[in-house]
Amino acid sequence: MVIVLAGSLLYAGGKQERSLSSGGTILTVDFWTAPNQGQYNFWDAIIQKFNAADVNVDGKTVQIKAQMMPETPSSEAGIQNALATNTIPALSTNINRGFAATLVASGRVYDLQDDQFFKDIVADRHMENFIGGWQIEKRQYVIPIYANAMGYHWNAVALRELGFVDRVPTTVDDIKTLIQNFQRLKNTRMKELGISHIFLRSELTRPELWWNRWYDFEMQYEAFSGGKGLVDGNRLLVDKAAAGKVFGFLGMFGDTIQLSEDLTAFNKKSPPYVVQITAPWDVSKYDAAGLKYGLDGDYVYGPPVVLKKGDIPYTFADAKGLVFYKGGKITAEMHKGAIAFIAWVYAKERNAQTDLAWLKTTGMLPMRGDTVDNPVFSAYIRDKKVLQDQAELVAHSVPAMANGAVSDILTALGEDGLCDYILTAAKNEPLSAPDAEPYVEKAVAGMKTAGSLR
Amino acid sequence: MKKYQHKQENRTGWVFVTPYLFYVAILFAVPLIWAFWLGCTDWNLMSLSWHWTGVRNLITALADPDVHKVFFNGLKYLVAIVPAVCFLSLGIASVLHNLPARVKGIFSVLFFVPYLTSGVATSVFVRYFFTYSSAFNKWLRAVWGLNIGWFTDPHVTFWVITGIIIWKVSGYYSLFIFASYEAVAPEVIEAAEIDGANRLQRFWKVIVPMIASSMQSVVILAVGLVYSIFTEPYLLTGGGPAKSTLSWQLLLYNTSFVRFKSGYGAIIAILLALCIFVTLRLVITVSDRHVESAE
Repeated sequence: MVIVLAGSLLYAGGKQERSLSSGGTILTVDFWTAPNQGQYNFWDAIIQKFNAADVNVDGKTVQIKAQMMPETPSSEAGIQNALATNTIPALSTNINRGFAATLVASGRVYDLQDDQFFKDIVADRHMENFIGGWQIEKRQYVIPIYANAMGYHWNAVALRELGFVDRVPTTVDDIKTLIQNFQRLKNTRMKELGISHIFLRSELTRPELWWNRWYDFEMQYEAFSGGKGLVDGNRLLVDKAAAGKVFGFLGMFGDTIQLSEDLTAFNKKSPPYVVQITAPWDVSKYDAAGLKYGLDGDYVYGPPVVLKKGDIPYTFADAKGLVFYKGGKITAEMHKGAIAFIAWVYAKERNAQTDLAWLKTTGMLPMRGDTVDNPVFSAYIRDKKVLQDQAELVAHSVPAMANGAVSDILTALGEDGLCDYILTAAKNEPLSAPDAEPYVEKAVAGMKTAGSLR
Repeated sequence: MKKYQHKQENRTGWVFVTPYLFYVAILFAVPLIWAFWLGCTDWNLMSLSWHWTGVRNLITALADPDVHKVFFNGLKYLVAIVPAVCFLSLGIASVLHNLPARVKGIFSVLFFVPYLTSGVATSVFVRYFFTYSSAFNKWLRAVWGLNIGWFTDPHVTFWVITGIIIWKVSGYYSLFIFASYEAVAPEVIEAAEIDGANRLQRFWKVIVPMIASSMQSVVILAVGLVYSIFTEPYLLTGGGPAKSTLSWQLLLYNTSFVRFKSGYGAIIAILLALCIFVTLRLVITVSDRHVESAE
């Protein structure tokens, strides 16, 4: 009886075509969203509209069935498990470029480069200028959905006291001026305001927290190197001169870096620090804490620091997109159904509204080239200065490296060079950063070995 | 006739043993054989193809500094956690035993609560408790001039993780000892008292030997616990600083599900199983002798 029951369940689970009561046939396509209620709600609303639209593929009506991807304990491990057990859906969101590279190397995602629907999406979302940055092994596999462009969160009260009344510091010279002013006022005005350090960044001494290198090292590296990227496939691209400048830049803060973890400091109106690294997902937290945005308010968002005025502030983007899986139970028909769904979602007449709904639901900026100029978005972000400031960086944001060994490579960067350098620099007075060259050489050699890179 | 009876007994024996054999085959033998097979490949569980690597993963693991690190960290955790958990459990059981009967139940539940608390919730609480601007740290700095790197100093961080684990399980394990403690006949203790044994002597020389088998269970459970440490270092330290809190399970997770080297991860899992087996064998052999002599 158990065998019969199990057999019938398996049969029911494996069967993807059903008859409509009206006589047509349904093609069910499984779709996984990020394990996040906000993102699930966004996709669920779209899917209801799509399913009601009766979109047909080869005479069958496509019906999308969505669920949140399992986190066992991470979403990547959930996908790995589904691929191993042939329970993978036809498509899913929540894929960063590093994991996509692993999926590509495993032969489990479709190449989209030559597909017309992909070209249409790129054109309609004005992604031509940055879609190249999403290539993996010189081909396209991911449809970028959103980008969290990393930047700095400045304590606006401290900035005004340190001489930056109408703009945030944007160049290395600005930072030097800021440090000099801080040193001058350290025991007077800064003390009155309760400000003890300039830069809060405890993760700089923690190589095991490798993903933080995306935010503290790679963000500045992209800005100093002109968006060159660290790794391409199995080639180490790192520009040692730019890497050395990043080390030197971080080391310049000397003993004014706070290397102890302080989780709640910036939730207050008067944090004891001048600056920290931030991402758009933090905005809701500061809104909830009642902080006022702007140079005349409590905090303000700033781009990565550039070497000289006029340089483009390239930055790291914590960005994710959508992939189409292949192999296992996914048939060619299901793949066609999945494409029909995404082509419908991002069709020319509705992609801006889709992305606006995304922005409203998740608070994260869609990965498209016209968020600043497109009236659909500008109408929404007109009163949201923080989103405007972040949106300007999206087009200059570089996604994660396309290499499956990203954790090893970034761990080596911290373990073999950056973290030791910061520990040494933090013993010094500010503006007297130690020579970074030996640390950079060691870090680069470590990255090369860790990722088996050329 | 005898031969027929013997055959009949054999058949009955097999009937009784068959469900257990199925259980062992499905939940133990199959995964173990599969893990051995996986450990001899470079499969990442995702790719449509894989290569047979033979013993290469094993040789790499034996020379891997991270495997050496978790081996020694495992020993460090053992030395720190097992005795602490045993003594604390014994202490709690002793306190519970001496409480008035009407409140024993309530206090037993209270000591059990930490075990029911989610590791995630505890870790988040601890992280905020030790954050630089927390009231506790402000007090330490203001009153004692202490600025402790709770998650940056390898020694301190190790003890933070160890402390959470000891706090979490001691109350639960104490219930095993408490149950044995309650079963000790009052007459035995009274007899020792009449013989002139003082309170301490009664405890160490009469009660402890009588609850030795429960203590042995606690030691075995604590050893198993040490080799399953994951949530606390995963959420609080990532295994750092300087890999001081890296545990077997965390290395296993990072290898299989972050670096996607599942074949290599399977070999680490087998080495871990071997470590658990050897440690438990040693603990059981040594403790059996003590339990037997105590009884």
